[in-house]
Amino acid sequence: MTDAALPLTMSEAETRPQWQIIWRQFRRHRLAVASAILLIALSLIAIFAEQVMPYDPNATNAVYAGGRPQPPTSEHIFGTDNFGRDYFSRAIVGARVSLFVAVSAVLFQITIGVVLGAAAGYFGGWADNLLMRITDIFLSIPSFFLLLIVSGVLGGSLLTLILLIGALNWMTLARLLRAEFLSLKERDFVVAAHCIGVPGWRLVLQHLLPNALAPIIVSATLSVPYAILTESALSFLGRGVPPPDASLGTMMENAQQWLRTSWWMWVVPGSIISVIVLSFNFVGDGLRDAFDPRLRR
Amino acid sequence: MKRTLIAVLLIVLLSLPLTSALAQDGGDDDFACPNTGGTLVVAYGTDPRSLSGLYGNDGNSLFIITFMAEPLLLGGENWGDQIEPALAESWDISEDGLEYTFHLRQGVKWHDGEPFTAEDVLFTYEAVLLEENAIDWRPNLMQGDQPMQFEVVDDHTFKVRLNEPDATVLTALAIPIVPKHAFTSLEMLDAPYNTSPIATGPYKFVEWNTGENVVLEANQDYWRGAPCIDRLVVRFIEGAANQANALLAGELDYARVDGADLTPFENNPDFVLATAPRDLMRYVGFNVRSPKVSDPAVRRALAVALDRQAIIDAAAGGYGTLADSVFTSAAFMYEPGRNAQYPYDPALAQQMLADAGWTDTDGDGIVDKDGEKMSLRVVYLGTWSLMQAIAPLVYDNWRSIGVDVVLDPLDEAKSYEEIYDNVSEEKPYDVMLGGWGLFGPEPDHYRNYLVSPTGFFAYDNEEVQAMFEEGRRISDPDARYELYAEVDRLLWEDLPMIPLYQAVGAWVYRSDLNIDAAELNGTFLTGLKYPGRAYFEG
Repeated sequence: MTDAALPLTMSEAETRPQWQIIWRQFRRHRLAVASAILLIALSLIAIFAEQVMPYDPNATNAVYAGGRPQPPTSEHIFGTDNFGRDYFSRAIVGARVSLFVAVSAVLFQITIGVVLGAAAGYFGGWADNLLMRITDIFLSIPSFFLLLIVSGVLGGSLLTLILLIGALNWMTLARLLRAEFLSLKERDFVVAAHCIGVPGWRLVLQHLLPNALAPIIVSATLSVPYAILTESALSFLGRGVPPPDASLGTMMENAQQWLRTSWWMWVVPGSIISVIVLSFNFVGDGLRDAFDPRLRR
Repeated sequence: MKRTLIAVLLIVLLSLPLTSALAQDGGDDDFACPNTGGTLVVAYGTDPRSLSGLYGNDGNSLFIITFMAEPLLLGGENWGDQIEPALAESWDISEDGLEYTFHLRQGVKWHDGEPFTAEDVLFTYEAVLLEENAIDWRPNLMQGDQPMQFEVVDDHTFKVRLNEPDATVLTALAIPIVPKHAFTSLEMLDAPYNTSPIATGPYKFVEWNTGENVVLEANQDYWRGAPCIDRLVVRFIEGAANQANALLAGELDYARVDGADLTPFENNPDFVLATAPRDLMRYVGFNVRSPKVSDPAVRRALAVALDRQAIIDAAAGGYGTLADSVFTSAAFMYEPGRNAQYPYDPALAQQMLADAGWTDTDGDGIVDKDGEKMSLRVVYLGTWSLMQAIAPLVYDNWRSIGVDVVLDPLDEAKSYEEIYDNVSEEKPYDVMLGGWGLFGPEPDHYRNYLVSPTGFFAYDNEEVQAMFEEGRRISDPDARYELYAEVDRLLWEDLPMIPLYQAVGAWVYRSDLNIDAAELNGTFLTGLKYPGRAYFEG
């Protein structure tokens, strides 16, 4: 049995140049590369936030602020909010929270999407039918309102946010993966593997999934901006990260009352959100092009 | 007899347009409109729940009702900070303190022209007492399980008989009077009156455009004198910021504006900015039964740890007075400086905590005692922007003296469940943030909220409860003053709640609007004591 699998491991070796082709392709997309670098830098800042932050993000300085947001100075490069909390430090923590929530939520939704999509595609028949009807049901739910309601019932915490965003956004990937599996299932190498008695779980993990990696990666990358925007929107509506901790959305919420007088209150979190969302979109675009053999020259 | 004659004369004179100067004589002092006419546009949150003075006790309703309706006397909740005659001209109290005789103002007419008599007063109080009507004022007229007894002596004399002496009866009776002839029966839960009221006040109801506005017009027969401004429109605009914008855009003439939105009005020649203390207190309340804050010394330490001036600046844009009493300045025995202030001093606060036995023994930055960490769950209504502004400062102030704070903003439903509708003695929180007010001059109105074991603070102090009990029995003003001064001192010492600040209202209005004679008074929801005396300068 194990011997029979040997020639199949060869195909794995063959994929290696494939990855090189993809990387070469991706590098051509300048914007995507720049975005990827920016995202790595932002992630590093988020991970090492404690070392980077000049101030405690929740420490108030009433004397300095006097109840009004204070504009950027050399000490507070992004200014402070109306409590005198350093806006740069809050922006870092905020970006960390937003990124963490978004990435975790996407990992969660990929897990659900892959499992359900793969099961539906692989088993077919009534399992496929059942799983796809469940997917349809989830697709028919206006997810943002459900998010609002459920987060209201459960109360805002990072974990509920992650689980909620994840649990309501796996459907596209599940469908994508099912279609991919359905077509892969008919391919010669899979039929061959099946014929020589490769067990089902191994077929899925070693032959089907690796070949469906492209849509998974692209879909994941393009889901992150959506998750970030959802988190921001929820926090903006007061249903996100509980106070006094910052997230980009809660910073926007606090900025509402100072729109006229204090531009940095909304410019800072707003532009960070935009930059992250745009970067992920560019990287996703780049990856999609790189994975698509038809675009290859 | 002479008085009747004058009243009759006045009624005759009132119908003549040129005699408005004389007509004012019915009021407390002489006032003649320097200029008449025009439309005053004001704003308040949203549609009222009811326009009946008996049902409308939410802000949206009260705001409009204050322009239209009147109680026998001022000084009740929302009706100012002084006990003063209104529909009752004067009153006598019997020797034993059990009988109050009210002499009603003569010649007062309802907005539909019918005369106001003692029958209307009786009808109002009977309707309030009728349980099926579900009127929130009902406890005001009850003494324990027994209702007060009412009697019409003649058209202009009305008697209230008590079962036991109660010095708070005057403010308890300050309920807007409704006209008997506007109802078919005592049952008024669904009466048409609730949407088209008839009253005795300076402005009378014209129309209610749902979601848009309520239009009122001057009551030319008003006993204090016809209002100077002909029409009054109450627009529904939610949020102080939106009202400030509408004011700037010229869509409003007069509005109360919050601190953060005041900037465009400061030193602006088109607007006048006037301030007055409001009968509102913002506070940090303790669940006194929580073992972590059951020690008054701990509560005092937490008070000293709060930078309350910073809270005023951040939450109210500086428009607040640092509280030195659990009562607002509207309470009749309030005296500034009676109680020593709790100064902001983190080092002292830490020392006080240590003296009470709370020190950081395990070096994790959080003080503890007998193995329990000082970790406080602080709840508040999360949708209330004021509380949102107070919470981060409480968090940071307390954290810096080694108290772990978990902020828990609740949504409306949860806040009712945990705080506002929670009548159990067990509270699920250690600390709550809140605000209350419009209690008027009578400290007894605080009683159910402040010193009840089922109140927000689960505060069960028999000594203070006994003093409140006594405060109802004695009627001598000086003795009551002494008694409640002592209550004030005691509560400030025991601190079931940390009063943060008393709100100072900022009213902004067009510079050609004159409200000097209308008397800006923050203890009225409308901010005006005599709204009929506001006028536009020619």
